[in-house]
Amino acid sequence: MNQMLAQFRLELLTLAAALVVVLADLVQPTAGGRRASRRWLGWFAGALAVMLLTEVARAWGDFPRPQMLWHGAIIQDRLGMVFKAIFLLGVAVASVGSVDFAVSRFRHVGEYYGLLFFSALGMMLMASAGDLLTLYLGLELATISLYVLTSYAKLTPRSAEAGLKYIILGATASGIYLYGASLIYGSVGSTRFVEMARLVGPHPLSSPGLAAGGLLVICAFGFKVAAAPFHMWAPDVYQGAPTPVTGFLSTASKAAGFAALLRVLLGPMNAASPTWSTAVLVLSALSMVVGNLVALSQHDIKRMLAYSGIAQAGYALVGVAAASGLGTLATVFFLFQYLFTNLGAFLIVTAVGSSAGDDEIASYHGLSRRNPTLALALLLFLLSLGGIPPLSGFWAKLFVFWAAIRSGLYGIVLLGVLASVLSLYYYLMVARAMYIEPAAGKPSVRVPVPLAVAVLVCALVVVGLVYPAHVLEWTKEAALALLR
Amino acid sequence: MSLPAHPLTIILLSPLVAAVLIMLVPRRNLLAVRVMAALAAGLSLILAVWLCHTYLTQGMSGLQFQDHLPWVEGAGIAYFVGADGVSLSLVLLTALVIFCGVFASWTITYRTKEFYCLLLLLVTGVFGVFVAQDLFFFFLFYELAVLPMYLLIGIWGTGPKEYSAMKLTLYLLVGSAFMLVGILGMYFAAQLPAGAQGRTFNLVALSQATYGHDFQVIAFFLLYLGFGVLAGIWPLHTWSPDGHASAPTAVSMLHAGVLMKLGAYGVLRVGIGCLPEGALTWAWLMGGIAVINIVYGAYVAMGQSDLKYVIAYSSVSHMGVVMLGLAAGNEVAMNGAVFQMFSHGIMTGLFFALVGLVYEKSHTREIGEMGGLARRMPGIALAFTIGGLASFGLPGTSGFIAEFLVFMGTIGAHVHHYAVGHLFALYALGAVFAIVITATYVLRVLQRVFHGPLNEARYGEVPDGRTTEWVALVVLSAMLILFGVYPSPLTDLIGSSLGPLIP
Repeated sequence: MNQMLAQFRLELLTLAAALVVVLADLVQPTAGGRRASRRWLGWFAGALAVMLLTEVARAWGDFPRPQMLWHGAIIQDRLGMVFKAIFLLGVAVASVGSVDFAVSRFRHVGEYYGLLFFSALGMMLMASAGDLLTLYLGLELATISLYVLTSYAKLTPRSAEAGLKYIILGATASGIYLYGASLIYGSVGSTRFVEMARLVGPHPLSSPGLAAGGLLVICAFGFKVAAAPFHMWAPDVYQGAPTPVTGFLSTASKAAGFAALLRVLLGPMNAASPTWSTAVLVLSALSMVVGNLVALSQHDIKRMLAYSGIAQAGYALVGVAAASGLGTLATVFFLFQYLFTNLGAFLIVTAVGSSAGDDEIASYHGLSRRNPTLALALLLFLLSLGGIPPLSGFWAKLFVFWAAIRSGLYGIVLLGVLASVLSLYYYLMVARAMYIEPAAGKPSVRVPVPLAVAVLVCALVVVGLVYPAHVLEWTKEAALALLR
Repeated sequence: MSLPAHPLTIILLSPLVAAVLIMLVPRRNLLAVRVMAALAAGLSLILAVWLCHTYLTQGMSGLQFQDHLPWVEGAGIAYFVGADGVSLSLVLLTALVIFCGVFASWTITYRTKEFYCLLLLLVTGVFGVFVAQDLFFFFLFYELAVLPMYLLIGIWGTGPKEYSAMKLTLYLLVGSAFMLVGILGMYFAAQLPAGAQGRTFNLVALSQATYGHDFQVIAFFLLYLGFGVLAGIWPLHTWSPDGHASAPTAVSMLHAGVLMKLGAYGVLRVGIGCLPEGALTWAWLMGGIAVINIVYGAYVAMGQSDLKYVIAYSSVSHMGVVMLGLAAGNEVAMNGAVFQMFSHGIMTGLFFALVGLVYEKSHTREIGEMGGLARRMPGIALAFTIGGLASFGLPGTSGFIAEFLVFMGTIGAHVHHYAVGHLFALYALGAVFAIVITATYVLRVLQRVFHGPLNEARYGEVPDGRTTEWVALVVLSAMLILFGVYPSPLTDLIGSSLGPLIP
């Protein structure tokens, strides 16, 4: 038992960090300017996240082979480690980036950071799940925290509406997942992945319960990653939530959904890969088409990025559909770089939105004259999302398409490449607003120091991945761990 | 004095480093920005000339001045640059055009810093494509060359600039999508010689590998489409007239002069060099479309009233000559094709520089509104005349050498293409006929713009070129005449490396 707890240390430390952050807010004296002095909490939360990251780095060496905890309820392996690193990086960057935003908008600052950690904890459980129920536990912990975070600016109607939409639709998705899980349990007799893998056998689809259950589980996680046709919640929720929360939601939460998909599909359901691969391909193709087409007509940048996120989920799903080690590697790499690219973009949206008072693309007119570095950073993030070399997004798309070609999926690659070109139109529209349109008297955007630091970190990663060899090594280890 | 180490990497990085340094210069100091850009371009030019000289005098052949740095070993991606005669001639072209382009943009005062930054970034991409010997980096540099165009045309352009910029960018990116599919296909389908360590993007290895015949046919077609968009083949050329006309001077010079050659170079190096059977199968189509380019481009140019559009369509026409030479697929024709790439690059760079000057001084691009400008701008008129004569291939200009080689090679092509019989002789006939059309529109433009009555009221005070403007005009006109009279250094440089590229 003690040994298992020791191997569960990262999750326990994350829980402790969440509680420490909440308590730190409570024990802080309220003398002087109550709001201003809460700024350090964001930095503190970021520092805690970074400390947890060092724990991930240390634990990397502990799990060269997957370890089963509690008879397989939790699987600690390198795939889980990489995803946990992604979640914690998301918490770190989002915390530091939203220091000023949280202090000026929220009444309860400590709980905000605490909820980020709780959500990350839930995501960690999802990434290490070895059992359908553990997966559910993690899913609920992550998403309930996100429901609260989405409606955190509770005096804003949009935020409250977004939270309500998210909880209703999210609960439905969770219900669908449970139904699917129960059908699977009914057919196979176990919810443990390792046992399921043994019991499922070479012809899993001969059992209608298993087939239906699997399909429902895919649909539920399709909702989670905002893949079409389960994407309807995304634009409204992304638009309504406080922008740093949107950034965290669009990256870390999406990654968690993918982690769950990879665990379930490439774990116990591996034998049925030709069939679920087709289902995932359909999701992927729809996401790419719907996401890119609808994004073309958006004039609110948060909605545009939401639809762009739907399309990006489509590209990542191609890696899942490839159903191979290379596909897993590609998907994990995609999610890693997507964290920095998208979160960086949303942090810039936070700054501009706070200054301008709205999130219209028109507010970005002439940004290159007003804040040249900020505009350059946003341009880099958008070009990376569009897949322009030598930025990280290009590598990510290259690897997923590569994996697809290796698995013989040529059609989706052609669709993906064309969709990628199409997406550049709306990314360039923002670039046009920033660089070509005149500033017309708009004031310079105030960029708080913590936000600048967070954006800088994201930009360095996006540009630094021109040399991807190191990150590729980690994702390769992760993929190998899944296949063992 | 011996060559510095890693000369090609220095040529590549010099504009990139200058671009980064320019970003740090304070906005007000325009002279510093311009001087830095000029120094970077000058450095690349000096090195390019030096490399060509070394290559020729030491009788080199094949890939020289190589730099190799593994990048992602597991995937077979490496930073591998090297140049043979063909690459070097195009690197020299690029260096010449950007050097003149920097001076042609000397008078830009609106956001000068960003302009030169983007321009140098663009040139880095172009240099990279010509020297890249790893297909992955080839594609990377190609994409790097496309994106700055959007901002350059969108911010500093004229006319329907945003429409032209977006059309150009999307068109070229779709082309690059086809190219990527072709490249990835080659990566997977290459049957490398025994002893190779798994798949690679190494262009040398891929050009020596064998591919299935059916694969070659499909892949070559995809690559032809992808590269052809950039080369401006009909009917995928429609981005080009609007793009060139709306772009600022230096950008038009670079784009028509050099970027379109990237497409033809890609067809040559990647398409014909690696997939020769595919090239032979599609030669009839390539040749046919090339002739359409030549005739259609010239014909449409004849009907234009905007001076910049005349030159833009003439570029479409001249790129047809390049593609015809590549389609013919023998030594003479392909030498002519690369020669035409060089010659046309210089010529169109000269033309766009001149049009920029004429527009700046007369504030119009409409031919109908101009007349008799030679009286006030004799230098510009002379340069325009030299360019025009080179355009329809008057002997004494490099245009003649290029077109002569291409037509000679094309007529002789039928002996090599068993299935197409005398088709190429017909193509050559069509192309030669187009010279008449070219001469018509060139001479008409010259007469209408520079000769005839001068509108004193409007153009009475128009000045001739200023010092910085003379740089571009003198250098480029001199090149046209120099290589027209003494072409052998260039033909030798190209010819030394054509061997492995002939299908």
